[in-house]
Amino acid sequence: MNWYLFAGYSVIMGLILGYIGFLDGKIRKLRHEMEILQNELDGTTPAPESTS
Amino acid sequence: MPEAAGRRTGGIPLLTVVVLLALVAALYMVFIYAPRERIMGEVQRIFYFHVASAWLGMLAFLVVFIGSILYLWKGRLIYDRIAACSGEIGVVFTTIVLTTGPIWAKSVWGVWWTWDPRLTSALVMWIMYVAYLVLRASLPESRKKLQFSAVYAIVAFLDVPIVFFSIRWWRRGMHPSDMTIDPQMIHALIVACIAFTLLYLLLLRVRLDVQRQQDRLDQIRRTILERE
Repeated sequence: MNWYLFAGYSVIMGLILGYIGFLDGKIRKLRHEMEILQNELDGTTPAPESTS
Repeated sequence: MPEAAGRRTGGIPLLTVVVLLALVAALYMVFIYAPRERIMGEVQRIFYFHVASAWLGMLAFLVVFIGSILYLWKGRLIYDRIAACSGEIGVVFTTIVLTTGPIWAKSVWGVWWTWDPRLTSALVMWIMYVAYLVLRASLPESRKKLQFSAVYAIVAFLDVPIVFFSIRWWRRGMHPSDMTIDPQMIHALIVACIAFTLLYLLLLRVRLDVQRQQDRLDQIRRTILERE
């Protein structure tokens, strides 16, 4: 095992997957904000996350 | 992979499937097909994705440049959005170049960094595009911001050909200006570049989808504020 090679590919994987994770987080956040705004426009309050 | 629009194959977007297959093919070419380099050994395999990332960074910044010119010329918002999204992806891939390069250099030459023309101009390019993203994020949304960002991006692009031609213009430093390379290594490099180009297209598509949602959300917010 060459540790420099391992480090190099870890950096590549980490940055690409990190960016994909960042985009995924952004999509989820936007979807949540959109839901809240949609409820505001409809004049309803957002449903509670859990009913128990 | 976050949701991407487009044709779907059993729930997964077609482009995502193509990118995953291309990346698997590139990994096979890099680690199994390409021979072990005689002098540098295994660590030379960093080369394939290091160069592919450099190619992609420059391609992404070329798209920023073209998008900025088109925005100033035609005034359509989509060109600004393409430029901004491409700039973000370009910074990610240039970060890969600037981190894998020193790891490779330390292993082969025993130093992390030297201020040779290629490394210095690449670092300057990275800083300029990070500044582009910071500039966009810090200014309030207005026509003036988009115009200023476009002008900045056009000026910033001046550094990209300097990075590309630096090893020919100043023949010194770690990067060779010409080299002979095993044909199998060239095949692996081409496949890695194709795989990363497809990955860039996918990321750009997803990033533009995110931007479109963000713009829609801002539009709804403005509508609510106007009503109040």
